[in-house]
Amino acid sequence: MRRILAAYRLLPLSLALVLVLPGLAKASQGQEVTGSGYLEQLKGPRQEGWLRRQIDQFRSFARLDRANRLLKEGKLSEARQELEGYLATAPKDYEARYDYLVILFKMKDYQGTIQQADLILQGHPRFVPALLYRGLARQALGHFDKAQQDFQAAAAQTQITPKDRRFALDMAADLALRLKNYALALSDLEQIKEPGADFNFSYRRGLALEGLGRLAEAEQAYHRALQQAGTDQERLRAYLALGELARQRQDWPAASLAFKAARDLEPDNPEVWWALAQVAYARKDYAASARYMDRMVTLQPTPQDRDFLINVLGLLPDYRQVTERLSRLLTEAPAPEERYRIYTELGQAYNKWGKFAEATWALQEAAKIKADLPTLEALAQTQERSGHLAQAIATYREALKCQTSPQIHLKLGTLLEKQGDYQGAVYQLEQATAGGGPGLRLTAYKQVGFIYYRLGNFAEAQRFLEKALALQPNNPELYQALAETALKLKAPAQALAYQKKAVELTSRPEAAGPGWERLGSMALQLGRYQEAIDYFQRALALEPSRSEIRQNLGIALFKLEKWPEALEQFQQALAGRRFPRTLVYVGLVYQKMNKPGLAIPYLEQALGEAARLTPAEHREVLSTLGYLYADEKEYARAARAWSQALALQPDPVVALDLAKMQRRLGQTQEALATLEGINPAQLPPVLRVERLDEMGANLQTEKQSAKALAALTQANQMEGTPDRDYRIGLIHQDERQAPAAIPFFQKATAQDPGNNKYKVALGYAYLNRRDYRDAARLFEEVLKNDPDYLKLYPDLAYCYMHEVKNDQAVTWFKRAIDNQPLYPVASEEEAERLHQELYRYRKEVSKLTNQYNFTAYLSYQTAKPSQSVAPGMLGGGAIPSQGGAEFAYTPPKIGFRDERIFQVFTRVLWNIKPGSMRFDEDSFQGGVGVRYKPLQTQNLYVWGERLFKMGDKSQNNWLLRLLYSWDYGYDLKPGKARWDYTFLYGDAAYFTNAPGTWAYYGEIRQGITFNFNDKVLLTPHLVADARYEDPHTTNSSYLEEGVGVSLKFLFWQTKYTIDKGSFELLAYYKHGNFLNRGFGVSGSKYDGFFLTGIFHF
Amino acid sequence: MRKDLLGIINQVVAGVALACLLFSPTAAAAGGRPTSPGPRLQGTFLQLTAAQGNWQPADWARLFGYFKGLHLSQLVIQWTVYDDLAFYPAKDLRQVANPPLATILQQADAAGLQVLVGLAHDSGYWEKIHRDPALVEVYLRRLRLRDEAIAKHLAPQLVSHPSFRGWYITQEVDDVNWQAAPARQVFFVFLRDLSAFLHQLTPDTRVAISGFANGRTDPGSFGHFWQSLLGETTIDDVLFQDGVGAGKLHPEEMPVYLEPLRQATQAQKRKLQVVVELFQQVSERPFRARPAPWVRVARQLEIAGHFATGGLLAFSVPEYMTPLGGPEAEKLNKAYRQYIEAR
Repeated sequence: MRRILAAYRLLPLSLALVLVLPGLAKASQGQEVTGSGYLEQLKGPRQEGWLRRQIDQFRSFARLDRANRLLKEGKLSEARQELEGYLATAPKDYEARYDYLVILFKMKDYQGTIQQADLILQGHPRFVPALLYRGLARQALGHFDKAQQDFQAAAAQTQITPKDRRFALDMAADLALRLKNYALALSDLEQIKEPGADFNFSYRRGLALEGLGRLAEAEQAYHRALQQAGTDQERLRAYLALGELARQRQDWPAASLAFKAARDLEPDNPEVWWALAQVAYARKDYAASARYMDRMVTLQPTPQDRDFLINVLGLLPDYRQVTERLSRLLTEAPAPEERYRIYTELGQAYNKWGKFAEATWALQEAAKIKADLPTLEALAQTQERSGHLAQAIATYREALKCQTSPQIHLKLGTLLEKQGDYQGAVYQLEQATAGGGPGLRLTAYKQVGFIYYRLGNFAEAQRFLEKALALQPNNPELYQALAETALKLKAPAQALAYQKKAVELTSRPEAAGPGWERLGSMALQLGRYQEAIDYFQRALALEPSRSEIRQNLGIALFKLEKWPEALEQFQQALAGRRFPRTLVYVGLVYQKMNKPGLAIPYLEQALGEAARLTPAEHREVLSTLGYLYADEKEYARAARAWSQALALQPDPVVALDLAKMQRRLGQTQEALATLEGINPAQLPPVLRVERLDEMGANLQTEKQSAKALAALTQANQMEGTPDRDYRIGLIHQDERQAPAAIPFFQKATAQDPGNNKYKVALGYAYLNRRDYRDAARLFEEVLKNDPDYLKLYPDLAYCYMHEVKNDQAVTWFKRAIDNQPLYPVASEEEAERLHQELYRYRKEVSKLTNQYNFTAYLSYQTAKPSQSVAPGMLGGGAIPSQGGAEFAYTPPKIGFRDERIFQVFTRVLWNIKPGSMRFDEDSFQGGVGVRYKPLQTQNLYVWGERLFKMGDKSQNNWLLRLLYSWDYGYDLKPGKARWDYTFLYGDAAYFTNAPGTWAYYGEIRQGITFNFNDKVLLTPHLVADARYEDPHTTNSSYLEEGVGVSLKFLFWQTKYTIDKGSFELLAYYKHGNFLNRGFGVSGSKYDGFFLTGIFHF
Repeated sequence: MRKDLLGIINQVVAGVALACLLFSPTAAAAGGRPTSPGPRLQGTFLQLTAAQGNWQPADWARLFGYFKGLHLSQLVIQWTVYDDLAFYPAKDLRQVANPPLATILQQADAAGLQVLVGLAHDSGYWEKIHRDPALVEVYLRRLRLRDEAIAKHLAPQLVSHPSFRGWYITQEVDDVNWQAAPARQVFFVFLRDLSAFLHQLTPDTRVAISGFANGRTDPGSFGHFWQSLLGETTIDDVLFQDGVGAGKLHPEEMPVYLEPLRQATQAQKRKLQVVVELFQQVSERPFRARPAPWVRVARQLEIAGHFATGGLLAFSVPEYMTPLGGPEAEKLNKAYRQYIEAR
């Protein structure tokens, strides 16, 4: 742009010359040069006298005249000589001197002009023409500042004509512009009166204003000048000025518009094309710039402009044209230096084009001309870029031969490092440090440090990095490298400090984020979690979308057990990028938040991408999943997960967990094998105990009680727990060693008194020991706490029954009966069992609450000789009778004591007259007595009765008896359709009156009972009985056998009691043989039907 | 089932993306999800308290006035017996001074509400079901017998009310206590027998039960559990508590369980209603809560609306969304009313 400026800045001076020359011409002709008034000034008073003056005029006239003539003839040189001669004689003739001055000026003797002007001005300091000519001469000699002063001085003269004043001011302004004294120029211009519609005035004013930076005013002035322009040249100048002004203001559209207007005025003006090219370049419109420049160099090719065009083409980039033009230049440039330059530029262009082979060729050609360092360096770089590292190294080495250069050492070192020649690299880099400047040394030290880091020599790495740091103490990258090195040197605190410094120093936002992140990672590694969180949050503030930072932040929060916060970060990390590791952490967080259900899907997902997990993470996922599945009671899945974890790597803890699952799955053999495979020494103490517990549980299931007991006992020695005591107790109990179980149950209960399970076990152990009181106490405690132990109700009732606390027993039996709807019944079999169970309880209630019994019977027989007794009746065997009634009373407290029964009774017996149903009044036999059942389980009665006479055939006597019966299926089996029926009865009686009579009776029945709705029992059966009396009396002893049927009706039941009343009809056909003394068959026989009805309630 | 689970999991782990999917109406429509009547509350639970035993009819009328203002059409009386305290005239139980059941039903008749009547609630339920399954079985039998007795007692009077829609089984279903097969079996038997009894007692009425998730069961197992439960019982409506107020689930976690539950109910041709918890639990023992902020409730409604095939219920309007619950509840009431009026 300077070219444009220079061009139009010169224009005013040229113009000035044009302006001044007419004046000079007039002056030279002796006319009024810028006004004849000026010359009058030179006619000032003289010192000499009139005569002397006349003589001088006479003497000088001829010379002056001749000088004038010569001047008219254009013979300036001769005129000059004449005047010089004259002035030698008349030095004070200022008019002549002025003429002489004009001639000198015309002859371009500017120095002489100045001398003459000085002489005139010594005499006439206000002589305007001298000032103007001196100014012009000084201007011509390049003394612009002095010239400008002359024009200003001339303009300041009062006698100066307006025209000359305008000229002087124009000149002064132009020169001020030339001197870039724009304020002065503007001041000069401001003094010009009547500026009018003058292009030059406006144009120059624009220049001055532009120079003062008053661009808006300058633009106005140029626009005014454009309006005032009378010629295309003036318009061109105005447009160029406007374009330049717009360029200064970087108003590229305006600049382009102005220059294009200028181009339209003068299409072949290369400067305008040049200006357009520059503006397009500034607008980064390289294509247009290249186009304009191409036009420009067509019009006026210069090496500089061709270079510029090549540069612009390079920016397009149009390397084809660049290289073509350079190649063309090559053909036009025979000079080696020029060829060298072109080859170099060609090499650069090919490099940029990516044509490294051609670039290499060009640079090699350049190097042939001048193998200097830059050329070889450029060649080496090209070779390096083209991947020919070995060649590049060789070139660098060649360059080093030319000139030792730390820079080349550095580059060589870098290349050697790339080639893997670390030792060579270190050598070169150290060479680089020897002579290089601080920057280069810094790079070299840093690089050496990196190489040592890579070689694993971290101490050396640290040493060199610290050297680098000494050169540039605020280099964040160095601090970061030192931090990493310190980590390798196991100095985490130092690493953290370095990293912190690195982050503090970094000014690049893009580097600050990773810096904080790395710092966070280091703090995380050091377990400084809160600090790590702070760093990660800072990193996030700079890089909020980076999932890795969120993940690490989540991990730090996780370590601090801030589960929801950690979860939020992990979830956000997942939203950005799905790392399997993040999935694992989400799962772990949910596990910690006690949400295993939410944890499982994440861990399963992570497992689905196991290939992206580290082996340790893979194992962790599997083992955690195992725990989560176990928590969900998904034992098979848990076992599978743990098996897989173990397949990856043996782990005694996981193996123990697997064994637990195997036991829960019923795989006790496998569980035992797993447990056997664990080396207890590898387990922490608490788990050693657990292993023994598991061993014990499995062995117990396998019925290896001794081993189970041993395992649990060993565990208990290591660490006692109530549960283990309980389990040991159970094993003892299973082994029917109730006494041994009790201490363990007691211990468990003592340690955990709120545990009903222990109390129940202890209660049953007491029960086994027949310690009914303690058992009842415990059972009652349990039921008070938890009424849902249904089995305890009847068992508690039995306890009280055994304790002869009949009222309490009845209460609990009743409650057991009340529980009927609560019993789980899943099948008909269970329902029947429950029915029978409840019947049993009702039966017990019946027994416990029974106080009064009444029994009456009546028999009819067709066999007249028979003495048969009513079958199966208490007391029936001793005294044969066909009819009878008994009332028995069971007194409270002593009447029923845990199946031991004491009763008081009274009865009447009688016979029926044979062949009829009439009572034989003579046979009425009264009795009152007591009987006692001393055994709980055996139906054995001891009987004492006072018989008193009621009929003639009856007696007063004492009767002592022993009665025993046993049956199977005699009583109702509720809910069962039929059952076997067996009945045995034996009776031994002794009548005490002398001589004392013994009577024995025995009976056996065998049959089947058919049950009709628990109300009617039909029992067909065989029967055999025998009676023997001693001393023997006729027909008192007999043996019978027969077949018969029992039809029994049951009635009178309540919710809590069984049918208290019954009516039984017994029908037999019997064959009988009377017995002799000594139990021999007498030969007397009988046959007949026997029919008996028995009513009981 | 595994395939379905994987699909759910894929959505779950998508995290925010899932939320975006769920919350986009177009996505919901494209996925063939049920079109609910809109994320609005259809009804509310009514948890009777001893204090309400002293209410006069005017008090109940006021409450139903609020229901009307919120355009509610369903009411679930959470229980009619709490331990041994009855909210209806009962001879064999303690009863509140003014047993409100009849009044509530009369008000519901007049307001055109449909009412599910809850049975007996045992405050020891959660503790007792956490025992040996054999004991739990006995316990559940007790509950069933008690529920059956109450239902039998109430049925004659309930069926005379047009508002009576059916029964609500008060025993809530969680995802913790019924994971093991033995426990699950006894629970299913309990529900099978009770639901069958209720249907037999009052044919053509509905039987509903409520459940929730603690995040203790994985979504697949959760869905499988509910499908089995519904397959073995004649329960008609599942009322799923979103658990947000109680802090059991984060709103974003709701879909993880709602989706499999929706599938389970659809497979068994039952209805799923989502119970939006309107409270924010402050303490667990004793239970204390305050009304939730509207922003959270709006979020719950939006999520729940995508899954509920039978509409949305609130837990519960009286305490947390009426002026009866205090200024915060009144504020929530106003916010919700503005919300429904704007839609």
